[in-house]
Amino acid sequence: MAEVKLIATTDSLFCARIEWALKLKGVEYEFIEVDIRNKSPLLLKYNPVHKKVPVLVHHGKPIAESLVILEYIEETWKNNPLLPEDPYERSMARFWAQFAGDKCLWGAWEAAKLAEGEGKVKAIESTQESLAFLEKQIEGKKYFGGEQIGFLDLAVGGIPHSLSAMEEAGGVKLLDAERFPSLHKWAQNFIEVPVIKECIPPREQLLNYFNTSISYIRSLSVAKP
Amino acid sequence: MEEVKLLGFWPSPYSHRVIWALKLKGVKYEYIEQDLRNKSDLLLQYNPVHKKIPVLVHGGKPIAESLVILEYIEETWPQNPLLPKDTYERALARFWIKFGADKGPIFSVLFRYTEEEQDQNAIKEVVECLKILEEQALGDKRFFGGENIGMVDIAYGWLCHWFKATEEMIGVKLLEPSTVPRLHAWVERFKQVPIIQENLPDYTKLLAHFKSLRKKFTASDQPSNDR
Repeated sequence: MAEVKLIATTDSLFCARIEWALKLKGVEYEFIEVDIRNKSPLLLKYNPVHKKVPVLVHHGKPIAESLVILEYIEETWKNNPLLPEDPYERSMARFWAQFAGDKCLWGAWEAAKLAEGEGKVKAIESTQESLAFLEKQIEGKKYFGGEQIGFLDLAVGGIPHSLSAMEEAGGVKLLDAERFPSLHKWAQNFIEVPVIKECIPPREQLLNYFNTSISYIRSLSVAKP
Repeated sequence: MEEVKLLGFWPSPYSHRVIWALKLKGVKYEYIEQDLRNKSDLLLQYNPVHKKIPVLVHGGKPIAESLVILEYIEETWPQNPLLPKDTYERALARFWIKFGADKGPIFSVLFRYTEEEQDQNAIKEVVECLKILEEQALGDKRFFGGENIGMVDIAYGWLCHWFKATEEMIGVKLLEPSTVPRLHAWVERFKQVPIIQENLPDYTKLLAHFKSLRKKFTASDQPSNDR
């Protein structure tokens, strides 16, 4: 029985983060794919609170929430550290990881899912303001982590890739190469790193998922009286 | 030792998290009260991204977001640890802290609750959340952190004064011995911890502040996160 199991799907950037971290630290693990739409018994057993992926199971003990899992991986396998040593730099990595998720990823989703209108315009503006902050963080650096991929690279890693699919599905332009050249360059670079490329969710799957979700969401707002 | 400053706002539970952590570790700091309706240059300088409190400034370097600040405090001043030693237990602590953060909007919605609206769904969601906390996070422990308070207790500290003020304001009691006895007992126990007891906002003032915020929320659609 594998000591480390990852309960996941192949179309989730949250799951990809965990695979990247495990691979970067050379940790052997068993990938157990589950169907989240049908809430497999394994999922209900290992993540009864949220019933979501990813879940890392180490020596039979489950941990959910991707950033919590990353911190656990960092503390358990100390080789090839993902977080800086300095507590202030660590706090910056954590701050920006939270920001990227809350403001860039979810912001982009807000912008993508809305139909044309003032709300959509505001959401686009707000997301681009947030992307501008992130752009400053990567300016002049190879990775957010410096010379090596770090915690923040993994936290932000799947976002541009997801955003590209969201943009197509939602009819928006967010991560504009002209306006965010450093972020764009970092994203293109990051995706080509072999370990990263191996686990990135296929764009087609993401596009499919976003197309379906957006159609559904927009149909709801049309149906309202 | 480098200077520690805390930019805070007296009714904010997020501000209080940082105060409790600093005091529990015996860290001396200068508290600088902020007026959120009239944001100071200092605040804008130290938190240009969110323009919110709390902000911890250590040796001139600012850190924002209360939960990020708590991790920083834990790593910088390791005495009286707020997280468990065991890595799995630490992961569980962080999981429950994140749970609370994610469920924030459910509790914010209560601010707009009125009897006329009969928004029973909002009430139901809050009760469900409290039950999960009681059954799965707290269990039969004295505190979320075990025998002594830890980071999870600090993160849920808003369940005392702040939640009580919300309940009183909307006229619905939810965190009761009849619904969540162990969680209720935890609230009482938490408030008795000396550092906590000495560092809570005045309840009457807090209630008045909440009532005036509620007027603002019910006037517009978007809840503010500045409290």
